Amino acid sequence: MIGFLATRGLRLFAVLVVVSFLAQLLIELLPGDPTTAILGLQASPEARAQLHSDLGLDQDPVSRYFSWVAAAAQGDLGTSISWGTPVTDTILERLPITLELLGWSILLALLIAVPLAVLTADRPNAWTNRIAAVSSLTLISTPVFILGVLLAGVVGLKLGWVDVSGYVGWDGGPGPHLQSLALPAVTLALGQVAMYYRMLQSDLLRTLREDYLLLARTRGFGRQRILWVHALRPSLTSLLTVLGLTIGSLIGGAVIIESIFGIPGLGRLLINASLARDFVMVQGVVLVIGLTYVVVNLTVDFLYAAFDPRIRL
Amino acid sequence: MSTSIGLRRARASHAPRSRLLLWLCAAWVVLVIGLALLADVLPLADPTETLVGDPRSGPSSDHWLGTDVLGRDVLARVAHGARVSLVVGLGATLIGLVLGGVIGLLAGYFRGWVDTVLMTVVDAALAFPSLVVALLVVTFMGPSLLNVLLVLGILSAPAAARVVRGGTLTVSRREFVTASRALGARPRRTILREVLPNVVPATLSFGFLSVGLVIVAEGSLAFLGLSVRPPTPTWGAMVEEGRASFEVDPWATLGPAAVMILTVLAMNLIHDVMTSDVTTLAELEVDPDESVPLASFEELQPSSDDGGLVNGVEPSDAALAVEDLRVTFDTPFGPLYAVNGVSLAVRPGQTLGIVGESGSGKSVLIRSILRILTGSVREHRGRVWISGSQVSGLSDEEFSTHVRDRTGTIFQDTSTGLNPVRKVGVQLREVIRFQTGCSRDEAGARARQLLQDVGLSDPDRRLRQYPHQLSGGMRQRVMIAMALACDPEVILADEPTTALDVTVQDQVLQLLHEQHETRDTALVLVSHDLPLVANWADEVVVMYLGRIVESGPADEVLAHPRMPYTKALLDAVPSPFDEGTARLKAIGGQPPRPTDAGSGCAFATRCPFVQDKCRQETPPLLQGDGPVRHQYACWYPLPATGAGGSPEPSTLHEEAHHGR
Repeated sequence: MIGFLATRGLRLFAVLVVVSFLAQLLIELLPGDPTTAILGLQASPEARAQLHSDLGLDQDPVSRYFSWVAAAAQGDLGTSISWGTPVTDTILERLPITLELLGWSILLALLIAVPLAVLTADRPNAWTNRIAAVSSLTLISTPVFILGVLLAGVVGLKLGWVDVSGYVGWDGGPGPHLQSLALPAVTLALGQVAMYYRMLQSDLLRTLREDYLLLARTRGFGRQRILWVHALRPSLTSLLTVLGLTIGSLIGGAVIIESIFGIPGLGRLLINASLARDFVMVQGVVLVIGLTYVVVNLTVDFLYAAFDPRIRL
Repeated sequence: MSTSIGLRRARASHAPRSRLLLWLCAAWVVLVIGLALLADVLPLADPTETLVGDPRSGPSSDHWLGTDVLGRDVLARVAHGARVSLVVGLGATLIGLVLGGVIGLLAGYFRGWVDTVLMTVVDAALAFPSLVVALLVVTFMGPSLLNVLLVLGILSAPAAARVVRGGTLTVSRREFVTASRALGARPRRTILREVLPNVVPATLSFGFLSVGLVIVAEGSLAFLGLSVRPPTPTWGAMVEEGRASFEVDPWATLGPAAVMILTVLAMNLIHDVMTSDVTTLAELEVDPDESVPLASFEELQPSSDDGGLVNGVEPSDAALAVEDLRVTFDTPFGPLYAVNGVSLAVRPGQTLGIVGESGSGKSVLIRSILRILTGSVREHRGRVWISGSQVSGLSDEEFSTHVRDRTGTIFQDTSTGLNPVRKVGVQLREVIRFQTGCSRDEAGARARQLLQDVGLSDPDRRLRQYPHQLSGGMRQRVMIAMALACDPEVILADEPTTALDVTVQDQVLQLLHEQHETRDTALVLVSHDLPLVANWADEVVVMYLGRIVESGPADEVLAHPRMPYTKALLDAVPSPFDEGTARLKAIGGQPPRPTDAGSGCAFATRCPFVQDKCRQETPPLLQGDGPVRHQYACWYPLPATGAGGSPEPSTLHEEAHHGR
C-alpha cells in the first residue's frame, strides 16, 4: 500500500512539477519585452521596471520558479497583473463553479453510459447495439464547441426550454442555478458518454465470456441479474481508467463550454487572463488544473481497490 | 489527446460492410480535399466578399448553404475554411508522427532506461489538457497559421510516440529483428529496415485518428478566436460567427458544423476499420475464439424425427443424452467443425468419461449442451435430452429453468470459475436461494453444510473470503459445492483437475466420485487423461477433431484399444515410475485443422498404420466384432488381443521427439 502510493504519488507529483515549470516558461514565448506585451507601448519606463521586478524577470527562470513554488506552497500565488487582486482568492472563487460543472457532467455521462453499455452488452449484434455504436462514434467525432452551440441554439433559443442567458449562482436559488448549469453539463456529458459506453461495453463483452458468467447462465440466473449483479462490477476497471485519463480533455472542454454559456469558472478565467497577458493569474490557474488532474487520478486509484478486492493498494 | 482511448478497441467488423464504409469515408475525404484545392477554380463566390446575396438568406440555388450575417456565401467560406483545417490537420499530424515516431522507435527499440525516461515525459505530456496548452501558447505567441500548426503538431507527438513504441515493442521481439541484431546489424539499420515497415500500418491508422483530433483542436481554437485571423475563413470561426443569429438563420452555423463533423467522423471511421483489419490480421495467429464476440443464446434446432435409441439407451431414460450434435464456428480460415455429429448417453448414476486432446471438441460439446458457447457460432444443431426430456426446442428461458436445478457444472480453470469480486459465501448463498427459494438463514446453513461436504475446513471463514484468497484446490471444491447446491441429476465436469496439483487432483476426483455415489448423480468427466478417466468412469468416449472415434465400457477400451489414436493417448501418459519428469508425451505431429473437412480418416496424417483407404474414405463408428459393446471408427483396427499383443507403434514415439 505504502509502496504503491509512493510511486503513484511521485509520478503525479512529477506531472505537477513539469506542468508548473512549463507554465513558468510561457512568458518566454511573448515576443519582445514581456512588459511591452502586458503594459502596451505607451507605458512609462518606471512602470516597466516595476513590473520587471514584480514578475521576477530580473532573475533566471530556475530561481524565479523556486521562489514562486515557495510562495505557492503557502497558498500565495501572487497578485493578478490586470485585476490587482490576489490570484488565490480569485481562483478559489471560480474553482467550485468549474468543479460543479465537471461533477454534474461526469455523473450525467455515467447515468447514460452505464445502463446503455450493460443493456447492450450481451447482444452485440442487435440493432440497438448498432445504433448505439454509430451514434457513439458520431458523438466522439463532434467537437464540443459545435455540440454546445447546437444545443444552446436548438434547446435554448429555438425551443426555449432552458434559459441560456447566463450563469446563476446558488444564491439565485437552487432551481435557477441548476437550470443554468443544465445545458453546459449535458453538452460536456454527451462527449464523455460515447467514450464511457465504448470502454465499459468492451470490458463487459470480455467479462461475459469468463467462465464464472457462463456458469452463472447454467445456474438459471436471469439476464438482468447476470448483467447487473454478476458482470458489471468486474468490468469497471477500464471505465475507471478512462475516467482518470479523460479528465484532461474534460477540463479542455469545460474551457470552451464556459465561454459559450457564459459561466464564470476557471476556464473563462484562464482565457481572459491569457488574453490580458495576466501571466501570474495564468500560472496559478494552470497549477490548479494540474492539481485537479492529480487528485482525480488518485481517487481513481482508490476506486480500483474499492471495486476489485484482488487489487491491494 | 485522450479521445483516442475510446476508439482503440474496435470490434472486428463485418468485412463487406466495413469495406463499403471505408469507401464512403474515403470519398468524403476526397470531396473535402478537392473542395479545398479547387476553391478558387470552382464557380464559387469570393469567400470574403460581402453582400453577394441577402444576408442570412438560407439555402438557395445560388447559395447552396445560404449566406451569413454579412451576406457572404457560406459554401465558398466552407471550401476555403477546409484549407485551414486540412493544412493544420495534415501538417500537425505529420509533425506529430515524425517527432513522436522518433521518440517511440527509440523507446521501443532500446527499451530499458531509455524507454522509462522517454515514456515518463510522454505520460506527463499526455496528462495535461492539450487544448489548454494550445490555447495558452497561441495566445502568448500570437494567433497565426504557423503557430497553430507548430503547437498542435508538438502536442500530437506524445500520443504518436505511444503508438509507435507499442508497435516497435512487438516487432522488435520477433525472430527476424532479434536475428539481425545478433548478426551485429547496426541499430539504425535494423530500425529502418526491419522495424519501420512493420510499424507503419498501425501508425498510419493512428494518423487518421490524429488528423481528426487536430481538426477538432484547430476548430476549437478558431472558435475562441485563436487561430488564423479573419478575413480568412475557418470552420470554427464560422460556427462562432453564425451562432449569434442561430434563431433566424441556423444554416450559417449548421453548414460548417456538418462538414466538420462529417470530416472528423470519416477520419475516425477509417481509423476504426483499419484498426479492426490490423487486429484481425494479428489475431490470426491466436485462437480465433478469442477475437470474436459472445454468441447470443443460440437456439438448438431439434431434428425432425423423434424417438430412437442413443448408444443403446432410450433418451427418455437417460440423465443426459445427445444425438447428432453439431457445432460449427466461423473462423478466418472458413468453417470450423468443432463438434461434428456426436451422439452419446449417460444413464442416471453412471459416470461417462469423454477423452481427447485439446481441440478435439470435448469442451465445446459440454458448452453446447449447456448453451453457453462463445465465439461466432455458424451452426448449432442436434438433439439434447436432460433428465429424460428433450430440451432442444425450448426457448432460452424455458431451457434455463429446466436446466438450472438438474445440472451442475464444473470448469477447469479455478481462477476464472468463480466471480473474483464477490465473496464465496455471497455466491454460494445466491445459488442456493435462487434454486430452492429458501430463506437467508437456511441458505447460510446449507452453504456451510455444502462446504463441509466437499471437505473444506473452517467453512465459516471460507464463506467470508474472496476466491483469490483460496488455493486452487479449495476453489475447485467451492465450484463443486456450487454444482451440488441444487442436487443435480447430472454433473458436467470439464477437466476438473487439470489446473490442480497432482496430489489435489486425486482428492478432487475422489470427492466427485463420492458425491456421485452418495447422491446417485450421473457424472460426465471430461479430460485429456485417458487412464485417469478410465479409472473413475463406467463408460468412455474418445473424441478426435469433433467426432467420436472410439467408445465402450471403460475397462474394455483401456484394455483393448482398437483405434490407434486411443492407443496413442494411452501411450502418451508416463508410467507411475517416471512421474514428474514427462507429464505428457505429445502425440506426434499436429492434428489437421478441423476447418478442413475433407474426406478420409482425420487421424490419417498422424497414424503410424495409415493406408491409402484411410486417406480416401472416412471410417464410420461401428460396433466391433467382439461380444462386448465397443465401437470404433477405424478401417484397420488394432488386434483385439489387448495392449500387449498389438503391434508396438514405436513410430509414434519417434515422431513425438521430432514433433517437439
